[in-house]
Amino acid sequence: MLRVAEQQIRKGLQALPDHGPDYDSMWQRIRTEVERRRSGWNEQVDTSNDKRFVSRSRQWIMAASAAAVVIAAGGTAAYFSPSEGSEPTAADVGQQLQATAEVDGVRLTLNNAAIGLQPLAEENQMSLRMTLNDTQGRSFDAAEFGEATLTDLDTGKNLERSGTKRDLFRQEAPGEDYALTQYFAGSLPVAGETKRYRLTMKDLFLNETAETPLGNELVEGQEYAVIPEDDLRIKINAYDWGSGDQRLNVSYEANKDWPKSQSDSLPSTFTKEPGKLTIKNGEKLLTSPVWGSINAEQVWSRNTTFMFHNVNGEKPQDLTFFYAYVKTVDKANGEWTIDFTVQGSQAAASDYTLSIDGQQSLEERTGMKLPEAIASPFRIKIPVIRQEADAKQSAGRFLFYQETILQVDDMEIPGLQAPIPGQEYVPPGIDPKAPETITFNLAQDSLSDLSGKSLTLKLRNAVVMNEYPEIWTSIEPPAAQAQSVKETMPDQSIMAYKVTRKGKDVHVQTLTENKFYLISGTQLKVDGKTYESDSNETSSKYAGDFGYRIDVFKNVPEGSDFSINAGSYGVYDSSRDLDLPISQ
Amino acid sequence: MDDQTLFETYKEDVYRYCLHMLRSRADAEDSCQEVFVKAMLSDRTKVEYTKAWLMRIAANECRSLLRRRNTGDRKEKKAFSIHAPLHSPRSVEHAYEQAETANEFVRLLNKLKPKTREALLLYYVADLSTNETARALDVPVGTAKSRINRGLGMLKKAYENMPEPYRKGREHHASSC
Repeated sequence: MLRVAEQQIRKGLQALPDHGPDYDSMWQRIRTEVERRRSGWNEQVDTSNDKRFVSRSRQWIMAASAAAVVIAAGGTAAYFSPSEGSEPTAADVGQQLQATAEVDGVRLTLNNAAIGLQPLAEENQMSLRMTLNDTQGRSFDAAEFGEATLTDLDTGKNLERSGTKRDLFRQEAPGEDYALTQYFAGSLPVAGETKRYRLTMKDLFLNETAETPLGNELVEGQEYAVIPEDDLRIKINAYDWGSGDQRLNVSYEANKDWPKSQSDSLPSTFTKEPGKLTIKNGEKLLTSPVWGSINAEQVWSRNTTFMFHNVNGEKPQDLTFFYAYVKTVDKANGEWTIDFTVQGSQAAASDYTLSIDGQQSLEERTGMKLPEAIASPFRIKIPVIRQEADAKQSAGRFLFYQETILQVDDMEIPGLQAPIPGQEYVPPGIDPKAPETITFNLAQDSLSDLSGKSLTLKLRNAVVMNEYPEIWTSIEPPAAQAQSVKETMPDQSIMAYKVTRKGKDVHVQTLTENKFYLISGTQLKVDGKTYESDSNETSSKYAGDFGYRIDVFKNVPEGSDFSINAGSYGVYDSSRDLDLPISQ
Repeated sequence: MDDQTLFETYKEDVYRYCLHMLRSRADAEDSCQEVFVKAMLSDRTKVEYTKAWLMRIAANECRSLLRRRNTGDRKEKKAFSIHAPLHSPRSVEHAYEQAETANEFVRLLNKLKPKTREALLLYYVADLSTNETARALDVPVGTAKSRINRGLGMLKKAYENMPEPYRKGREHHASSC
């Protein structure tokens, strides 16, 4: 009978095909959807104070204004220069255009265009900054065009979008215009070249967040009219307080189909938002994700959980329940068409360099240098310079920082460091042979105006390689029954070995509790002869507080004197944390 | 961990899980997207074991879709509109089988019941521990272990009973990956 080992099944399962889905497109759709759900209505929590939300697009705009910036029409380059003391505004970004089109009393202004490299690709993209003005006193929270195209007038071809697929205009601060920055890639002018484009925006939907108050407490089994104009009612199926009255679970079903967004003709992402329960705790608006479930009677419910964090642990008393949903309150049909010209030579000269202080401290701790940050409209890149000698596998060698963060005043932008020498994993889209770089995505991640701001590069949780070739842990000759042995290493890492003989092979499982991870794998010594494990048979798992690696040593003879060495392993060293100021 | 890192780190685990649970690429894409959207909209600051938490969302998402597919509940499907238009169970199976005929191991896996399959996928493909698998499936650890062992046993048996040429082909495929 064929002997099928778990390992074969494991390999078979791990080799299941996935046919290479288009993760990039998927990511774009996810971003779009997250942005839509956040921005449309359900992230209105403290918008006046929530800097992260309010300023997300503004932050990029200001970053671009700080980084870029070329004013073209008059031929004046307004490069980032804090010494001048003038804070660039959104209208200063890139090439000034200020072209307008008007339909049904709504004026669309194309403010400017800027060209720069995409955050994670060596390909240019062009941002178009647009604002809606003179909306004839219409009241709305957000406005969205049904369709938008950018056409190269020389070729007649439309440019591809490199950012969000939606055209949602939001107010960046109370009293300001509704604005959108949209990104396009493809046919862009190079230095010395001029290109003519036509921007066409079609059918404008003006949306508001509507709220139907439902009272101070919901009652299980009771029905509530949540969208009266559509006769949509919900019945509360469950209303449970838990976790010491700090957690509220609510489940509810509708009397009919959940409503779709009323802007049905908008370009669809992959979902429509049917609205959801929200709570005001005093003045604070609470929202929470909603998920669907179905019961034995095939009735769908929607479920949501609200968490409260009262310091005194008491049940919140000042609650008001609402049903919040997006409502299209007005619509302007028509096409807004703007023809404009972009001069590549001005927009292309947009990179500039910032110096990073504290190089000596960094080099002492890591042997690594990060001498400068190269800023462009959509990203900041920091080249990583390592000493050649550091590439050798030696104990105590710094490998990389687990976290790299760009702090701009009180905002933090996570960075991506890749490719890291010696690390197998390279994020998608990164050339494994490219120079090692830390990249901060200014287009996607939050960033405020750099002008006059405090910039700091924060490096956290250094991963350091340790190895102790002289420490061999004695074990009994391996048998079918596993034996467990522990060794406390000089750095206080505890190696917990579980050794088993399986036929001619010896399996060494090393438990790590995920406090460190094995790099080279264990070595086995039998009667003075050292054996290396078979890398093809190695398996490991590092998840949560549970981590292990299994090394398989093939054809190990019976013997009397067995011992194990841990090999090289990576530990986290927060003592090497550094804050490096960036000079403007 | 920021949103993009979350996606880049776990997209393959989530997608592969969805694909082999739902046996439809379109549904797998939609479900995978919805998993990450939900994750990104959630407060992750208190999430201790990100992968297990994410796979739990994926497991719930797939279960929901499987239920809907099985019941053919057009009303709720239309109401939520979360996923792309669904096919009938037969057409989903058919399309998937056509695409996956070449992989005998997929066929073995598909013979397992969803409860067993999801446990195996979480444990072996998503690489969760038994405790995390139990958490992701919202079942006791013993139940998770039992499902994993049962599934493993069934796969072993099916594998052993497979005609020799298929077995060799499978082994070759596995070792080449």
